[in-house]
Amino acid sequence: MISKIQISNFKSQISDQEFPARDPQSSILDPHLLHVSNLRVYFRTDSGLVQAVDGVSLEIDAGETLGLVGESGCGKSVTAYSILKLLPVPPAEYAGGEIKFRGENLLSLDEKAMRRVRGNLVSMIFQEPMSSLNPIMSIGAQITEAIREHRKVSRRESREIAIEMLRRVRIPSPETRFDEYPHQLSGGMKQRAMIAMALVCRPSLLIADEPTTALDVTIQAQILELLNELQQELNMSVLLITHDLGVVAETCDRVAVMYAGKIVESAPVASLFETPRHPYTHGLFRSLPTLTEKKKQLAVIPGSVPSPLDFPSGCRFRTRCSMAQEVCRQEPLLREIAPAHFAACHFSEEVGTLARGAE
Amino acid sequence: MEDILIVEDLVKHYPIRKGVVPRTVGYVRAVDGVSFSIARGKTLSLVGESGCGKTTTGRAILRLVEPTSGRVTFEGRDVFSLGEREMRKLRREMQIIFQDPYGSLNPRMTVGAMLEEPILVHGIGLQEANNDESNDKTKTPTLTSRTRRARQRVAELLNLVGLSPEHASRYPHEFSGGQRQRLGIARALALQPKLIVCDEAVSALDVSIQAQILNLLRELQERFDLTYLFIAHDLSVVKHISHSIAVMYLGEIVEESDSEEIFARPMHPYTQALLASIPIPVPRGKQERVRLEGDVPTPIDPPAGCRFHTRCPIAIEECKLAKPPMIEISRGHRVACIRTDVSADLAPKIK
Repeated sequence: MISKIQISNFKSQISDQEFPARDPQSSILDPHLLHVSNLRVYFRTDSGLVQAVDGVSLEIDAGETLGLVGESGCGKSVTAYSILKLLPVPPAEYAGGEIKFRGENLLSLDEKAMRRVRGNLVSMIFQEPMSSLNPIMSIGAQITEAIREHRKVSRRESREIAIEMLRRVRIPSPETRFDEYPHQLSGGMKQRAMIAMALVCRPSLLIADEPTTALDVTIQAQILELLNELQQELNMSVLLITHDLGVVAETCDRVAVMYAGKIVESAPVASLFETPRHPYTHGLFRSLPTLTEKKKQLAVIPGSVPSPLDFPSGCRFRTRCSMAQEVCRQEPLLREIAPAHFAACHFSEEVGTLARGAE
Repeated sequence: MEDILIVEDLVKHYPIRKGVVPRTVGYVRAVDGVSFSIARGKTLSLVGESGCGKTTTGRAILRLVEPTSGRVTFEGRDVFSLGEREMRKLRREMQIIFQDPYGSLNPRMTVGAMLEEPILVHGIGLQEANNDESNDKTKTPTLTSRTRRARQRVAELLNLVGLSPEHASRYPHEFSGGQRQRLGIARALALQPKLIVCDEAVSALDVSIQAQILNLLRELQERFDLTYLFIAHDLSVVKHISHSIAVMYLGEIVEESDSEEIFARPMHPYTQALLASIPIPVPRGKQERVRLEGDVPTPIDPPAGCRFHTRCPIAIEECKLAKPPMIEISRGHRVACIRTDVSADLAPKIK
């Protein structure tokens, strides 16, 4: 009970953050919490220009979970890191586009302004908890540091808030754990501590980069459920980056599928799983081993993802696509095939028919 | 059918040494009495969470770690009683594929050199090279016929795993993750083994590549009558490739059965929880699921009685007292649980 009161006090303390100065006009023009439009992130390397993210657009509304799915090297993590401007420049280069958060373009903010966004309005959690936990600082010190960076509270208050947060992520005996170091916690507990640290300032958007990939399935189930609960409590939006279509199906409202630096399909979860409209998405589904049936041979997508130094012209999937035709040398644009269901393929209608026929 | 590998009561305890003058203060009971057998040409999967001892089991069978006790019989030979020389000979027939294909390939050796080495050391597969070749006048005179045949064999191996012979002159870093795993498989096949331990062989790969490698492993099994011990944490992958499955928890096997049966009728509460935890790629809205509380306890001081009782939703007082015996509930389906009468009704429904 006491904890409830503490939290609600805390909520009122921090309810209306002054930053970013909410420009009423831009909010009206842009109803989305986060609106990434035509983002291009390139890397200049010795071997050439890597177009890691090449014209990505996505929107997230308040309280919504968007899944960003794709295989290694498709640019999903670069997209996520760009939102918080965590990529070192150079070699990275924001070559174009906008990332609007509550109407404000994050790409135009300086480093000082970004520091007030990170961990406060937009937080991030990572696949490997040790990449964001400092091994020589106690768990408690790291969480209170995040609080005191963004809020004017006393040491004692910040300690109380931190312990309460540890309790909410269901770390047993949080008072003791507060003074422990990351190596004293198990993998699942570290992940919880990192979530506590990311959410302690009640951000409006959480970017979760493969948050459960390194965990065992039973622990993964615990963490996904925890994230889901906290999201509802805090009315937070989540950008969930994953390669696991099972996780997407169970947690997301909408999905965007990335391939070779571009979004190839984006749709509400049910619509995407029912009728994929891009041959890549369709191929991914068919290559999944499932619990429900035992296939003699898994369907495969031939070949592997092309090198980002040398993407094919036109549709980047055409070199691996069984449906590719001459027309695929021209780049297909994302178009709305069904309500809110976008796909970038010249043959989306045919893929849809094929996918339905296969069932 | 004849069992190619029989493992009886395998134990591996790692001593914990502390102090200035190191003294053994305890043991990590990584593997604590594991028994199973695999029939020739079949696949047994060992499944469990990190730290359950599945990898140690695989390595102890090959004596890559020396077991504490137990008995492993491979084709009638007692593996643990062999001397070093005999063991080296036996390893030709028992190979391993690792999870991280990059960490297990020498970055400074070309693929060709890497695959050639074991062939030349053991002299395996050389006699099978085409004998007419020795009369071929176009051969390079500096090469001995042994090396030449070894190179042919390398080309064969690369073809076998879906790469091309030109790849022999490249280095591991020039390959993608999936291709590296193909190299790992080619290396394991170089000595024409009978048993391959696949230690999380596809866990690090992307879905579309995972499917390619799983298909390859199956094809090779049929072609060469290979036996696999497949170690994995992902039950949906395991279903596709295994004939039988053993579920491990804290160094012990808790349930063992053929693959169909264990998915249709999981009996141990741990197996049930594992199955229920797998996110299924079918959207049904945000659903509630059966969840296990807490973490796996430490194998240094495992719980008494049934090791799962601290997390088990149906544990009773008796579970804390005595270790449950393995009971056979139907043909080939064994469970170490005294509550199977209750657990039978709790099995997750998989459509």
